[in-house]
Amino acid sequence: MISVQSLEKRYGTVRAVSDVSFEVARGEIVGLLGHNGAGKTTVMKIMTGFLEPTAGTVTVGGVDVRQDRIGVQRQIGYLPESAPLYPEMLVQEYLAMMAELRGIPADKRRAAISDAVRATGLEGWLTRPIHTLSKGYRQRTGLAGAILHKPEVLVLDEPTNGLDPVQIIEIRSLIRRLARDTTIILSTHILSEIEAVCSRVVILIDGHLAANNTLTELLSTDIVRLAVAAGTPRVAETLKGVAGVLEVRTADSAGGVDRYRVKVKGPEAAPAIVKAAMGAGWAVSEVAPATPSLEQVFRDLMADHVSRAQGKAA
Amino acid sequence: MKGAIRTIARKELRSSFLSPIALIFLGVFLVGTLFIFFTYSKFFVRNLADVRPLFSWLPVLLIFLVSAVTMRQWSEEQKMGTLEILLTLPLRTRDLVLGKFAAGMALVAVALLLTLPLPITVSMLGELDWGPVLGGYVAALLVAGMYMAIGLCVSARTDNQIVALMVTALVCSALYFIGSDSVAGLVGADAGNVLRGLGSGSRFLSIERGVLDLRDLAYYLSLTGFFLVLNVQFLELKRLEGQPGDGKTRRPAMLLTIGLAALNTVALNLWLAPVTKARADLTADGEYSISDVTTGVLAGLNEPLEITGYFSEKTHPLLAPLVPRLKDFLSEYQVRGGGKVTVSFVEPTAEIEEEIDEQYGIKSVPFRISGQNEEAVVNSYFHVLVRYGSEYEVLSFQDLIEIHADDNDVQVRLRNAEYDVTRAIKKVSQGFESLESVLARNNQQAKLTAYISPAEKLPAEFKEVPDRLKKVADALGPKRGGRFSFEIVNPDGNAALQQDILARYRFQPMAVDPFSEDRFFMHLLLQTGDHAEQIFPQGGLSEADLRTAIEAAIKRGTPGFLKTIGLYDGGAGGRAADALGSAPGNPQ
Repeated sequence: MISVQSLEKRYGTVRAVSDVSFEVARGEIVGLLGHNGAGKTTVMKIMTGFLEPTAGTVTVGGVDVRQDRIGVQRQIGYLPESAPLYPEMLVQEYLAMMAELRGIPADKRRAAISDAVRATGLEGWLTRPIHTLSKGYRQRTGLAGAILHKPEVLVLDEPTNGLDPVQIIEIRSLIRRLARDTTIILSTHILSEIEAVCSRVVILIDGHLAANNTLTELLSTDIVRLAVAAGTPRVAETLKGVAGVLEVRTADSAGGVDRYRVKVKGPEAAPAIVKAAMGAGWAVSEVAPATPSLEQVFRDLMADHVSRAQGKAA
Repeated sequence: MKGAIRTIARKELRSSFLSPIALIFLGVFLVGTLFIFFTYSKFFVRNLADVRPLFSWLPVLLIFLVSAVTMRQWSEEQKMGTLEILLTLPLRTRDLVLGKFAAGMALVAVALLLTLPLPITVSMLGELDWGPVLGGYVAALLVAGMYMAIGLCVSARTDNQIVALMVTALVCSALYFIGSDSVAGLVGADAGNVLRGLGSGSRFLSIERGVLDLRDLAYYLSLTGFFLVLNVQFLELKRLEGQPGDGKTRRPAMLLTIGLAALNTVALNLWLAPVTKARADLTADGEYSISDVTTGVLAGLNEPLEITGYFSEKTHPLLAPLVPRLKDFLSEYQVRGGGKVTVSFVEPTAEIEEEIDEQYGIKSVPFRISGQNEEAVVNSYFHVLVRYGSEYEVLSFQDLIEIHADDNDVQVRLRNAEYDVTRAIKKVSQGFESLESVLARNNQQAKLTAYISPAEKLPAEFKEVPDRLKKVADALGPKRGGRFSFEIVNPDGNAALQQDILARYRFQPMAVDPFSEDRFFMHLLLQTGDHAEQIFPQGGLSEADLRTAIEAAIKRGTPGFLKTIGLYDGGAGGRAADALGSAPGNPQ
C-alpha cells in the first residue's frame, strides 16, 4: 500500500532523514518509533505531500507523491502533530468545511460527517466551538476531519501525545476500530503505545532506519542473562566463541557481579553458555533465559547507532 | 476546483468577521474616510458636488485596511499549524491562494460599499456625476486587489501577524509614494515619469478624475497577478523547506516561474505604455474627451509645449470650483501630448508674480467677494500660460469662463476650455516653428560666411571669436541635414573681394582703436536663398550670443516664420527699412 524508497530530507545542512526505506501492506497498523527529532514527523510530512523529499520518494497505492501529490493526498487522511484546528470554528463547521475541501459531493457530505462523528464518538459535541474542547476531544475532532473521506491510509502523528490516560485508552481503541478497513501509520515515542496498537514497528534513530520488523519478530530474539563475579576477565571474548551466540552486551555491574545480556539463536544455546562458563571457571551467580522488552530492544538499537556513529567519526 | 476556492473564502470571511481586529480596522477605515472627506478636504468649502477627495485618499486608506485584512491570512495558519492541514488536502495551492484573495476582496468590497452613503449624500446636495464615482470604485477595488496580493505574499513569509501588517503597509506605502510628486519630482523628468508609472498612487490620478485608462487597469491587474503567483510559489517553497538548491529540487523551476511572471508583468506594461488611446471617459459631459482636432494639433508639435496654470488658492468663490476641473482638463493635454506637453500648476508667490508680470504680462485680477460676514477684495490669479519655444499665449479668466446672470443667481461656467486652450496652442505653435522643420520644408540652403581677418590682426577681445564661431557652426551644421554651411574668408590683401563686399554689403574694415592705423575685418553674413543679411550679435560675442543671432537670422531669412518688422522713418532715408523689409514671408 505504502512504499517508502530511500527517502532523504535535508533542512539546510541538517539531514533529518537519510536513506529510509520500508513498505506497509494493506490493513497493517505500523508504528513509527523514534526519539524526538528522529525524523518520524518529517517522514509523515513527506508522505502526506506537505514537504518534498530531497531524494527518494513515497508511493501510496501506486501513486508517486513527487509525480502526483494530489493523487496521493486523496487517499490519505492526516492528523498532524498536536491536531491543529481553527479554534473559533464549531466542530460541525470544521467538519463541514473539511468535507467540502475534500471534494465530497454535497449529497454525501451529511452521511460522511455523521459516520466520522460516530466513529470518533463526537456525538453531542458538534455545536461546541473548538477552543472550548479538551485536548482529547480536539484530537477526536482532528481525527474525524481526517477520516471524513474514508481514506485508504491514515497517517497519525503522535495521536496520543498530551492526553490523559483515559483519553489515551479511548484514542487507542478508536485507532484499533478504524484499522478494520484502513491502513494506519502512526508515530510515537511511547513504546507501550506500539505494543498496544501496532502490528509492526519501524524504528528511526537519528534519521536512519534502525529496525523494520513485526513486533513478534522484534521481541522473539532470545536472550540469556548472565551474571558473573565482578572483574572476571575476557567474558565477552569467550562467550562470542560459543556456538549459537549472536551478540554479547554488558548490562551493568553492581552488587559484586558483572551482568551480561547475550543474544542467542535459540534456547538451545543456553546450555552451551553454561558449559563455556564452567570451562573458564567463572563464578557464575545467574544464568537465565529471557524475552526482551521493546524498551530493551530500542535501547540496544540506540546504543548500536551511537557506537556506529562513533566508529564512523573515528 | 471552484468549490475549494469558495469554501476557503467562506472560512476566511467568517473568521474575519468573528475577529475584532478586522472589524476595528473596518471602522477606522470608515471614520478615516469621513474625516478626510469632510474635514481634511473641506467638502463644504470646496462648494463642488463631487467625491474626488474620497477617491484621491482611497489608495492611502486602503493600504491600512488591506494590511489589516491580510496580516492574519497565512501568518495565523502558520502559527496555528493549520497550514499543514490545508497543504495536505488534495487541493491546488493556487486554489488556496485564490480563496484567501477572494475573501479579502469581499471584505474590502463591503468596506467600499459602506462608503457609498457619501456619494449618495453628495448627489442629494448637488448634481453628482456618477460616471467618475463608478470608475473610482472599480479602480479602488483594483488597487485593493494589488495591495491584497502583496499583503498575502508578505503574510505567507511570516507567522507573526504584526510583522505581516507592518511590512505590508510599508511595501504598499513605498509603492504609493514612489510615484508621488514629492518623490518623482526629486529626480529628472524622464526618471520621474518612470517612477510615476510605477507608483500605485500616481496611477490612480487619472482614474480619480474619471478617466479609465487601459494602461492603469493593466498595471493594477498585472501586479495583482504577479504577487498572487509569487504567493503560490512562496507556499510551494514551504514544501521544499530548508532544502539546498541542488539540481534535484524544484527550486530552479520555481525561480523560473517567478521570473517569467515578473517578466510578463513588465512586458505587458511596457507594451501597453505607448497605447494612449484606450481610455474611457466616464464623465457625463465627456469632460476629458479631447477632440481629434486637438490631438492633431498636439501631434504636430515638434518642440516641448509648456502649459502652466496660475491659480491662487484664495479666489472668487464662483471661480473656485472651476479650478480643479480646469486642472484636470489641462492634465489631459499632458496625457495626450505623449511626452511633448508638460502641464504644471503654480500658486503665484510674490517672486513669481513679479516674474510672470514682467515676462508674460500676467497680472492678478481683483475680485470683490461679498459673503455673509465679509466684504473683501481678493487679488487672485486664474490664468493659463501656453508656451512653445519663445512664443507664448496667456488665457485669463475672461477668456476661459462665461457668466450667466439672471435676477438673483449668477452662474459661472467654463466656456469651452478645449477650444480656448487648443486655439492658444495652435497660435503659439504656428508662431514658433523650429529651424529644422522650416529648413526641411523649404529645402533651402543657409550659408554663413564670416569675413574675418587673421587672428593676429584682431584686437585682443576678438581673438577668440573665429574659434567660437566655428564651434557654433559645427553644432548647428549637422542638425540641418547639410542645409547649413559655414566658411571663414579672409578679405585681407584681397582687394577685389574687399571691393565686392563693400559694394554689396557695405562691409568696411574697422579700426582696432580710434588712434590706430590697424584695420581688421569681422563681418558675418548669412545667405538664405536669394536673401542675404548681416548678423550683429547682440549683447556680446559669447557662444550663446552667436548662436542666438545666427538662428534668428536663419529664421528671418526663411518663409513661414512670424516676423516683427519695425520701420524707422528717420531723416537719413529708408535704408534701414529697406534692409529689414526685404524679408520674404508673411509679415504679421
